[in-house]
Amino acid sequence: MCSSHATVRGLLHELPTGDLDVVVVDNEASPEHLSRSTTEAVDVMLVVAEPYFKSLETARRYAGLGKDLGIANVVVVANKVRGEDDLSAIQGFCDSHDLKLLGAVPFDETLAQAERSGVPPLEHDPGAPSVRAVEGLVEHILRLAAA
Amino acid sequence: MKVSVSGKGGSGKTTISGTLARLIGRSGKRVLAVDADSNPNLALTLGLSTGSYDLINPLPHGLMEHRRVNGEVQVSLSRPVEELTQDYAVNCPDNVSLLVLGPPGGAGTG
Repeated sequence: MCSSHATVRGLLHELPTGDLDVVVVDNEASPEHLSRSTTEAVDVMLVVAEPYFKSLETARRYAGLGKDLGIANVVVVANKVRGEDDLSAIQGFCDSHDLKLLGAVPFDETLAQAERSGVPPLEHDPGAPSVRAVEGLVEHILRLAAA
Repeated sequence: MKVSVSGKGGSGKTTISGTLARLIGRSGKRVLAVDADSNPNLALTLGLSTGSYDLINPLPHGLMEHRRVNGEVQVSLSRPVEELTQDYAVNCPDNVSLLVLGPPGGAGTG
């Protein structure tokens, strides 16, 4: 097994520990973190999906791999949603593939500005719609993990 | 509790993971953010200043060891996980610390 995947896998089996409460893992785009069981030991797997076919197809595939690994809570988070049409397209896709849509983060011009200037979203504008949407996810995620 | 964030390239994984980690941290929990991307970028979203990127000491590869227990081979971390977070995690704002996985050694080495 590729050593970096093995290391993350080993870490996740033994974390969180001591004075840590929550571990958040930002994975690479490649599905290797799933096909190599790197992230099997998590409580919640968020699959970020944009409202276009290739992104949704990827989300469906990743969610399937996550479920195969036995992850209890595999959920989709819609991102860069530009309105009702986008949201209903994602919701429809999730419904027809038995995926749970946890929430939606809107397309946010302030976020694009933050990215351009290399400033974290939270420093750029803590009240931005996208930041507020992520804030809304926190409670959902904590509740999922506690269930 | 452990949360993993996946998705297609460019979908916004890093922005969502980093912002999520900080907002969970602001709620009073102590958060470890793990950058498992071989092209690590999470530090910026976590609010670490570019000047302190030099402080990031990526987790070395090859921390797993094979042990034979009752005739069965078991694979586990060769060092206690507390020791690893102590030695390699960097403190970020909002109750978050960051652990970066070592990037590949260089082009053509993986």
